[in-house]
Amino acid sequence: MNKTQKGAMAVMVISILLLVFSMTIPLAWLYKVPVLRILPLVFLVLSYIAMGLSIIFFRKKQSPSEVDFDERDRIIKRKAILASYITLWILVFLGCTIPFMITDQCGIMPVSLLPIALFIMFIIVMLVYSLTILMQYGRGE
Amino acid sequence: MAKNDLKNQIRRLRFENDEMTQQQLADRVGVTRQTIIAIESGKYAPSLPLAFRIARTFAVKVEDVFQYQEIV
Repeated sequence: MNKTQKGAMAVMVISILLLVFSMTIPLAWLYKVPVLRILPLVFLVLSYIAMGLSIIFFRKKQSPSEVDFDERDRIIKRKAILASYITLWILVFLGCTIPFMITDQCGIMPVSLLPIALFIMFIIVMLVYSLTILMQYGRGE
Repeated sequence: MAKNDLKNQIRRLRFENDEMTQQQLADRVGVTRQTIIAIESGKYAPSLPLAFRIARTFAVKVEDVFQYQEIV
């Protein structure tokens, strides 16, 4: 496993944990059950642990002469950036249209939903980026 | 539309050169072992500079390593 793959793997795990974290925040607000209120904190701590572990994961190198990054990795990264860029456009479009469809023109929604929605969008983009990299390596491209 | 296919002789050339491993070849040409695996299996077409580096490692011409075939 090379540096790009390790990076993508770490980003994928952290993104999934942060995605679950951000999705559990509205649940904690809506329901006053103690277990649900702790849940976002649990996933936030787990994502911090994953960030810490990924640093150790990155340090490990099989041989000193081993090349970390080459032309194929560059192409794979470029394709992943393109895929995440397209995803960002789709999410921005959906983020602009869905609230209007749900709440109507004069409808209201909590302001606190905006930072959560933006954070979820960012995490989805990162998830698409890492998954595209891992899929390309998996196919042997 | 014609499909392009790039055949290569890397596996044979590696064995003819003291049974060179994929990692050794990767280190010599400055790429990862996965890239050599992808090139050998025909899943990745290398850039021209990399193709030249591979050919020079085996002390042969590029055409001896890579053969271009057009499949109609």
